Amino acid sequence: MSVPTRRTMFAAATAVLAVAAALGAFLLPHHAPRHPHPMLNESRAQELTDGYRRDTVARIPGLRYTDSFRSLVACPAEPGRYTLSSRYDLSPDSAAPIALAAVRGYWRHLGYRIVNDTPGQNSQLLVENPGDGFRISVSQRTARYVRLAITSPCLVPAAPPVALVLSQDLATAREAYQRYVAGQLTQLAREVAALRTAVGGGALARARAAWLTAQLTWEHVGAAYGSFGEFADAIDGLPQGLPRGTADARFTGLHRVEYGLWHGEPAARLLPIVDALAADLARLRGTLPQETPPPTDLPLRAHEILEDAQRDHLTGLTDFGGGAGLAETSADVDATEALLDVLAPLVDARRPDLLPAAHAGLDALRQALSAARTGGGWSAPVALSPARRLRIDAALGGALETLAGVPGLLEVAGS
Amino acid sequence: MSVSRRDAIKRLTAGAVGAAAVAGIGGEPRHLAPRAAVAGDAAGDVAPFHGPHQAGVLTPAQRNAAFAAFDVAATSPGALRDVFRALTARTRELASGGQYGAGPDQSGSARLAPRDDPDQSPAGSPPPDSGVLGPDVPTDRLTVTVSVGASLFDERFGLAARKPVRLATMPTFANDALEPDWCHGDLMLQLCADNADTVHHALRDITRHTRGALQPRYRLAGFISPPRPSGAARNLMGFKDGIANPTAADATDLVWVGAGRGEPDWATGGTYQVVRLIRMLTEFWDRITLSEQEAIIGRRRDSGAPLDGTAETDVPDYERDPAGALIPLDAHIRLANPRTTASAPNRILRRGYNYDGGLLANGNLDAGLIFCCYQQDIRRQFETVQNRLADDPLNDYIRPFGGGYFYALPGVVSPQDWYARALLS
Repeated sequence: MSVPTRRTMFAAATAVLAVAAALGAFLLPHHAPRHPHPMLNESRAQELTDGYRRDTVARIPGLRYTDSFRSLVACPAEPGRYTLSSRYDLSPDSAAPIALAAVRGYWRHLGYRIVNDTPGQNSQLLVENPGDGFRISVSQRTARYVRLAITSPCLVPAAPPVALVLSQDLATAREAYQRYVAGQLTQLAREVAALRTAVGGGALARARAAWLTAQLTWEHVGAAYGSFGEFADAIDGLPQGLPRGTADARFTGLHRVEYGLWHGEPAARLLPIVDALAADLARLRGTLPQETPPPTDLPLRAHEILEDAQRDHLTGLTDFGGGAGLAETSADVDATEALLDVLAPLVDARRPDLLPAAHAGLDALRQALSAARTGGGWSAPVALSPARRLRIDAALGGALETLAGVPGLLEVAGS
Repeated sequence: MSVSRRDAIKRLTAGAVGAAAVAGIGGEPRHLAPRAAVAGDAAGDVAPFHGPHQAGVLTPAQRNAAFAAFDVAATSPGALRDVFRALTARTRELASGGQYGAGPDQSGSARLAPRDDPDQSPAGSPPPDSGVLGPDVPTDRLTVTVSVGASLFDERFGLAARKPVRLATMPTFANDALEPDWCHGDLMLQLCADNADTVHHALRDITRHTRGALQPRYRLAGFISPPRPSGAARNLMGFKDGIANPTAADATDLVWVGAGRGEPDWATGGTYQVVRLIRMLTEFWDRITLSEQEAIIGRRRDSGAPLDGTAETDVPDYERDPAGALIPLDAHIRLANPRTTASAPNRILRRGYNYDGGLLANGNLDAGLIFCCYQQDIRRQFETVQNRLADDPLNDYIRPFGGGYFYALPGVVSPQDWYARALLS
């Protein structure tokens, strides 16, 4: 099964550093409107912003959008209130000069108040709609580039904004995560070698145990939702999306080995599969810096690793005989904890209550999983009593709701 | 007081006679109308049954539906003809409010068409109707759309040479986790009506009249939400869905299989149907931010407007946004319909329904979309769109688990005609 990559949350993670600086550049000086909109909320402000943008751009022929950015900017002396500030970069699709005169005429016609009209090389035309307090500006710095900025009057947003994360902070977190992953993969390489020995020696019980050890180490990597791209498919792919299912030649890696070990496959047929696994793993280790998910994906993994466990391990989707769904989920808890440790400084600075709650939720999940352990190992999820199963499902659901607070807290640049 | 079952029947019979007698007093003796008008009944409540194309394709979507797949248990070509005759007779009656009666028994099979005389059952029979809709069966805009799967054209009935040339077994796509019990089938019935009880009644009636010859394989009930607060209905992800859909004016180019398309003659007037049962991981979806949801879909959740527009009916202008500054290049609406000249022939007529069932093994809600679309050519249309969606970020939040490819038969053109007559004669 090919697992598509969850959207890199904010495509324009380009100039995160520049964002803070740029805020000043396109923030339009704002005064309280004469007739503030009585019902203005964030959603309505977004609608009005979209309308002003569309209306304005329609009057400047031949422009294409090149970038956009939106943010909530605190209103001075109005605690808890913010303007919705949006900026759009546009460039002409031909060599013809950008004609802004029509905009000026149009805004005059609508009765907008001209706040600033600076002609020339660094031109800016800034108007305010006295009807609703929105401010719109068109500025031009070169012949090939126009910036449109729209700012709402002050409003109370749906949720207070959080301090934007600097890309260098996330890059630091990513490096720490990468070191953690590299260590896990080194261990996995040793375990795959042990797996090969066990499979080659024909000792089924030992081979099965060696498989589980390796599978759980892979889980510790936290490779949810398309991290490591093609390598993840090769090392830990699933057969569900393949035309021939478990018989498909593209079904490779750890679960393929599991399938063989629980379906009477002879060592001679399994060894090449283990060898291919070792080779894929070696290639991933060789290219790990490039293959590590981008920094903006990292906060998403805070809940995605266990979303994966809920979707796959606790529905039996990843069980090809080993019945290891609970063991895998338990390893996913470890992986999530490791990731939270990496993100902790960024999260704590923004919401100090979040990580303690998350760790408490994960502890509850760990206890529910431990309670389901049998003497020598783990029950298959399907073999659990309803009471045990319910406790695990409840703890996992509860933990996920808390963990889902992380990504929105660590946004880089809003789109 | 103990009343024997037989006494009760006698009393009911007497009551019916009494009512008829009262109706005759003081006026012309009159025949009972085939059915009485019921609340909510209006001229617009009947979806026309006879025509070159089946109803339920271009028919404005009714609020409720069931998709039911069947396998043919009958083993002879003659018995297969009986199945389609019975299907025709029942659908014709149900969809027209009894206007045609059950029709004469053309099949010669008592089981498939138990009533020689539509007004009288054989002695001692259980009631012919389930009673779910009360004594006067409303039409409720019921449509029953009959489609056939590739498996019907295997060796059993000698139909291999007559298979629609573009009909195949639905393949497995990259994000699928197909469950065999929820896939394919010899027949697919799409039953739609404004009310859920009408859909249930029709399915129950049809299964009863085809019992022993048609065996249900899987079925799923669906619904379309009312506008919230206006415009296109929302799906269970909270987004308005089905905003951009071809209309009847496009049907000749996109939907109906006409002559000259290399299809067997009998297929003229039909259309290819794709049904995909798509689970939505609603818990996961609810755990991501609104801005991420909107970037994934490419529309605002509140208004349904494309991210470069202001109203749900605005047409996204991708030429003005070549880098995806407003609508990301991999937004669902942009991948599904890039709105270029080249992509225009790939468009499909969607006719999907939400489903909302029980719980999954992990305790999450089992809810999602019964995706259904109609088209001239599955490869040119559905599969082209589906392949564009291979890397759709939305795939993380959905999980297709069933469905199949089918060919919706040409329409039944007259009271003498029946489904698949041209195929089976």
